[in-house]
Amino acid sequence: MDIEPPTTFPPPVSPQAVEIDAATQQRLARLAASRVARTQPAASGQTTPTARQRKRHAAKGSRTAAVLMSITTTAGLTAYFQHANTAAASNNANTLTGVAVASGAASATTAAATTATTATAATSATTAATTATTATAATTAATTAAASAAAGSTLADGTYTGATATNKWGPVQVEITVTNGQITEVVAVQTPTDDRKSISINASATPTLASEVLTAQSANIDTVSGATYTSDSYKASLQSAIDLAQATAAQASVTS
Amino acid sequence: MTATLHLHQHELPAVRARGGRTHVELVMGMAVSIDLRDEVSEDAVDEVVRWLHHVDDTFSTYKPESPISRFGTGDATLEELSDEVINVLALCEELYEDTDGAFDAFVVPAPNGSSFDPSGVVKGWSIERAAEILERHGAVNFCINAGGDITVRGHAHPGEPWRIGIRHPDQPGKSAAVIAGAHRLAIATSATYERGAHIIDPTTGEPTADLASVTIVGPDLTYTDAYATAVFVMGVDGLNWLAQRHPDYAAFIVTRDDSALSTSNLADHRVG
Repeated sequence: MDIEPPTTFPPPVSPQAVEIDAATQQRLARLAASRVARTQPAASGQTTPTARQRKRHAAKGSRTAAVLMSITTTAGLTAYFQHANTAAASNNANTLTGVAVASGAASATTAAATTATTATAATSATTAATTATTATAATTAATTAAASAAAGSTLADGTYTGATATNKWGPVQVEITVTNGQITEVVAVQTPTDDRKSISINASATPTLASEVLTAQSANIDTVSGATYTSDSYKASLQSAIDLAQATAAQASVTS
Repeated sequence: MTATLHLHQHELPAVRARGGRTHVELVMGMAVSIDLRDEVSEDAVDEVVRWLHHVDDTFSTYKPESPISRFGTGDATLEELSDEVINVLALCEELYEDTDGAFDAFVVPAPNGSSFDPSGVVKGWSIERAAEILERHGAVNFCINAGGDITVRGHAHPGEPWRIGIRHPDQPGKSAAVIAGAHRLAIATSATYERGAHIIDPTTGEPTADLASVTIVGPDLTYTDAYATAVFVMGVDGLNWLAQRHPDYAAFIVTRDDSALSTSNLADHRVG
């Protein structure tokens, strides 16, 4: 493979014609003015407390969700993970939802809400509901969600408590709160350690989310997307190995 | 010049013999891999290489004399800048408005000492232009990977899409997910595992690292690159922003506790 030294050729003509219309002109005028104003807070180290608190809160919610997941997820579900993760390779949307349910009662309820608002995914919610047999509360939520999706309506407001399920670690029971037709809170009212954990769900976010346990695959790929590597770290990257193999393959084709 | 590539951690992947050529250019502080699956004249790659070095000279915040550095440090006014640079500035402004301030090139500490660094959009934008150069030379099936941000055209093999791995945050040789891309698809990832907490939250002026990685999939690398940065700053809420604002783009994020979250439309692209 060729890596050429920095070129001394003259720069090419920009391949994209640049047209600055009146609207862009105005925007750039604002830009020039705002440049100074906007850079000042960062330069002086000032922060915006409200924005920061809001953002931290979102992260905290995610961490709390993870704690809840780890508490309510059972060894039985671990076996299901393996099955579901294998099946996930088939790129089946229904399977992905199944994985979400397996992630624990909290995320299962989220998944139920997800499918409920996607009319075409009603079947997948039902599939998820029947598969996650150990997360009874989640099953209830998923079934309700699927039914309501099929009917084209939303969840009735109120608080719903699932039946108690017992896993390897002890009893699990989940309570969900529905506000304006969307699940706004999930509380594990009973867990094996009997800690009351709750998470607030960004109601408007639930229709779009799918959650799963992270896996590490060794699948055959043509290229890798990752955080920007430097020229040095590239040399040790999987991408460099792929490039070398591809360069060899291209040469093999030419010479054979 | 033939470069020596060292393979420290990975065995050579098994690949099929094929036509075309692969070129790796070290430019803009990273490696740009150009994987051409058609027989295309060398002029095509040469022009792309010239273009990338031109972009580096113009937009590098490491070079004090680049137009972007002179603008950032106040040595050049808008009137002195070329239309090309103005166009990128306009793109920065468009993204600032669109992301409700989560993408803000004007509060990023730059190596040249200014607080203006448009690198988060220049990379994706310049790679899409590079793809257009290749297409003008008749290339149909190719992949450009610029330091982990990718745009593909056509197919990897006849009838088979490009298979793009999303790097697992903790295991560099493995994929957390695999995306299939055919005809035209771009994918970009923002994460801290290569360069530490370098992504600045414009609302606080401080580095943010609430997530392990954010990957955006969609039609144009200019936007997948910028959206990945913006969603990284927004956190989990960013999935909602993307789904509502840009339904033709999909996201895959890995949280600090090794959960993976995605927008539901990621399933349209996912094969593993």
